Amino acid sequence: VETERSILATILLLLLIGSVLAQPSGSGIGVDISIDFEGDGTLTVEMNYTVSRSGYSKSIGAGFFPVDVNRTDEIFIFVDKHGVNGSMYPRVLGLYDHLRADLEVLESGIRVSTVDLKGLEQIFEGPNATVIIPSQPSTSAELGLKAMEWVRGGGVLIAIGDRSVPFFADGTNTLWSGPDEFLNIRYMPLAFNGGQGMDASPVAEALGLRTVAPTMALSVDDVIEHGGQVIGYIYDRGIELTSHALFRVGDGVLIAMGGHIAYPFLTTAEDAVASDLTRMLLSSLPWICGPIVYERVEADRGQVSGGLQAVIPEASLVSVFVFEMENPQRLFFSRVVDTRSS
Amino acid sequence: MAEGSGDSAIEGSTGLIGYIFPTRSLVPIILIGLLVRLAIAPWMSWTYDMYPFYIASVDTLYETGLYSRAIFSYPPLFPVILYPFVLLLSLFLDPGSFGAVHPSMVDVAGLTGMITPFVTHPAFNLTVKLPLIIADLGMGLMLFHLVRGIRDEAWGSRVFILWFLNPLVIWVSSVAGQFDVIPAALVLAGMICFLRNRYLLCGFVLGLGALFKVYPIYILLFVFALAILEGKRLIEGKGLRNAGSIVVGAIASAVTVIPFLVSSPLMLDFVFRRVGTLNFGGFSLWFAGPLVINELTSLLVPYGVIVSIVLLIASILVILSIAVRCGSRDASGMDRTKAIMLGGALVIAAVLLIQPVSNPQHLLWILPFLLVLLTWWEGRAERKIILLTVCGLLYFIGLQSICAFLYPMAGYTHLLSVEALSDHIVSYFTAGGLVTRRTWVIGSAMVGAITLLSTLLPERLDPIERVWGYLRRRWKGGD
Repeated sequence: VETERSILATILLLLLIGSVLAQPSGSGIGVDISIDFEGDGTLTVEMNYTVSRSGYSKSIGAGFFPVDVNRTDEIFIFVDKHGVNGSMYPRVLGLYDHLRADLEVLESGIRVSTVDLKGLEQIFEGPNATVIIPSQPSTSAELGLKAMEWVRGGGVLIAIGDRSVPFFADGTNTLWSGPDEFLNIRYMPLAFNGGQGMDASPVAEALGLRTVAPTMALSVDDVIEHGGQVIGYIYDRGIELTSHALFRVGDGVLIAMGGHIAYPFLTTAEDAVASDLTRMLLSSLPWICGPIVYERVEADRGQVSGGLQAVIPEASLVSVFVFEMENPQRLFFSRVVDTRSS
Repeated sequence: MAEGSGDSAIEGSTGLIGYIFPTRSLVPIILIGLLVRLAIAPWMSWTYDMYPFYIASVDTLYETGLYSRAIFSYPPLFPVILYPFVLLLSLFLDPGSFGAVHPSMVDVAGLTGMITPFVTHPAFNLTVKLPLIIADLGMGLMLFHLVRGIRDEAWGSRVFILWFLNPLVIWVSSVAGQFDVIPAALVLAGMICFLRNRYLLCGFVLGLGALFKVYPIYILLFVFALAILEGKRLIEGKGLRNAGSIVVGAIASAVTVIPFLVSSPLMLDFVFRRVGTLNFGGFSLWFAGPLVINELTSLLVPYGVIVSIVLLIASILVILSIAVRCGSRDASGMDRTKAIMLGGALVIAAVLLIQPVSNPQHLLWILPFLLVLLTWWEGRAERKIILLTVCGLLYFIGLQSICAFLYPMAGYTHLLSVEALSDHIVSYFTAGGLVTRRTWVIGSAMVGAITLLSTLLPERLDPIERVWGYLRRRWKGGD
C-alpha cells in the first residue's frame, strides 16, 4: 500500500507540475505605441511602436486607418438548425466556438450568442448589433426588407456565402427578386488552384485575413458598381472575384464574405472565418473610411521598433493596430484614437 | 494450460532494467521495433490530426493557453506530457518553423475533407511521436509481464511481438501520430491494478487515461460495477468500499487538470460538447454510414444531442450487463483474470460498435485485451487480431491512399513533391471502376465491425470461426 501511495503521489505531482507549467502566463508580448496627428484639410499621422522581447520569433503587422464610428456591439450568429441549410449547422456551431474562444482570449469583452430565425427577425427590429449570417436564412422578401432597414439604421451585418445576405437580389438566384434598391451582386464558384492568380487587397494583407479559399466568391465588378470596397483576396478567373467585400448601407455596414464555411481548416473552415471576423471587428474595420497604412515585420525574439507615417483624408477617428500575424493571441493591440483629443 | 496470475508477472521483475529487457530474446525485437518507428516517424503523418497537436504545442510554448483556440478539443494530458519534448525541440527549432501552410494542398483538402494544408516539420513529427513510441514499448512490456504471469515466458514473448511489431500499432503511433496508445496503456494498467485488488490505483490510472481520451470512462464504469458485484459475492459491504476506492482514485487523477479548469473555462465545453459533425461510419454498427451520409446528417442534425444520449445510454446498459455477467463468473467456473480481461474486451468491443464513428486508431483500444485473451482463446483471438490489423490498415490507406501520409517527406525533402501527392490523391478520390475508394473503405470497415461483433458472441455463434472452420475443411478436403 505504501508503494502504491508513493507511485500515485509521484505521478500526481509530476503531472500537476506539467499542468501548471502549461498554463497561460498572461504576460504575452508587450507593445508601446505613440501616435501624433497634424494637419488641416488632410491628416498627417505618425505612428511609432515598440514590441518587446519574446521567447520566440514573431511576425508583426502594424498599421492604421481612419474610421468614422467607434462602437463595440454584441455579436449574434444565426444558427439554422431546422431551416434551409440544416447541414451547415455543425460548421456554424464551430464558427461560434472559434469566435467565442478568439474573442475571449483577447479579452475583448464582446458577448457572442446564437439566434434562430425568429431571434434574427427580432434583432432586425431592435437596436444596433453585429449579426453574422453564415447560411441562407430565408427566401422571404419581408425579412430582406427588415434586414436592409436595420442595416441602414446603423447595424453591422456580416454574411458568409451566397444567398446569406437577406437583401441581395443575386443575379444567379431566381428564387426571388427584391425591390430595385436591393443590391445585385453575383457570387461565383471559385477554384483556388493552389493560389494561382491570387492577390491580396491592402486590407487583406494588412490584417492577414485567413479565408483565402472560399468555395464561392463575389464579382469585383459588381462590388465596385454598387459602391462597395474590396477588402479580401482577389482572384483572376477570367473575371475578377473577391473573397471579402464591404458596403456602407445608410448608417450601417454590410460585409459580404464568399463562403461557404467548408473544409479545409486554415483557409476555408470556421477557424479561418472566425479569425477574420476577430481581426476585422476588433480593429473596427467595418467603419473604415479611408486608406489603410501598414507594414509587416518578420522579427526574431529580440525587441522590434517601427514607425509609419502617412497623409490621409481628414478624419476624427483613427484605428491603430499592432498584432502578431500568425498567432494574434500572443499580441493583439487595437485602439480607436480621437485625432482631436490626441 | 499453466495458469498463473497477473500478480506474479508484475512482481517477478527485478528493477527497471529487468522490466524493460526481461529476456535476452526480446532485445532484438525491441531494437527492430524502435528502429522501424524512429525511421518512419519524422517523414510520415496524418496532417488532419497533427495540426491540433501543433496548435497545442505552440500555444503552450507561447504561454497563451491550450484551449485559447477551439482547435485542440481533447482532454489536456497529452499536451502536458508532450510539453517537455516540444520545449526541448524549441531550443533547436523555432516554433514558427514547426510547420508550414502549403497552398497546393488546399484544393485536395477541400475535396477529401480529411487533409489540413499544413505540413509539420520532421523534427516536430518525431517529437510528437516519441512519447507514443515509448508508450508502444511500455504497453508491449506490460503485456509481456502479464501474459508471462498468466501462462509462460514463450507466450509472453509471442504477445509482445504481436503487439510491438504489429503494423497497425506502428502505423497509428509512428505514421499517423495518433495518441490512442497512451490511454490504451493506462486502461491495461488499470485492469492490472484491478486484478491485483489495488482499487485506488486502478481508479487513479483509469482516471488518468480519461484525461487523455474520454473512452476509459467506460472501463471505469465497468470496474466500478464489477467491484461492487465481486465484493457483494465475497464479503458483504466490501464491494462498496472497493468501488468507493476506484471513485476516489479517479477523482484524485482529476487533480492533475485543476490548473486547466481554473484557467480555461471553455475546456469542459470543448472536450464534451465539441464533437464536430455528427458522422456515422468506421468500425461501428453504422459502418455503412458513408453511403447515406448526406441524408443521414441532414436528418439527424437537429436531433444530435438526443442521438448522442441514446447511444450513451445504450453503451452504459451494455457495459453494466457485461459487468453483471463477469461478476457472476462463479456460475460458469471462469478464472477471475480471464473473466476480467474478457469483460474489458467485451466493453471495448461494445463501445466501438455503438459509438457513431470508430476510427482505425480506436482498434488499439481492444488489441491489448485480445492479446491477453490469446492465452485462452489462442487461434480464435489470433484471427481477430489479424483481421482487425489488416482491416485497420486497409481503412487507413483506403481513405485517401498512402500518399496522404507522405506530405512531410514531400514538404521537407526533394524525394517527392507536394503537388504530385495532391494530384495522386485527387485521382484516387475521384476514380471510378469496380473497386472504388468507397467500397474499399466500407468493405474493410464492415469486416472489422463483424470481427468486433464476433468478440461479443459465444464461440459456436462466432461468424469468423465458422468461416475459418469452413475454409479449413475446404482446404483439407482439397488436400
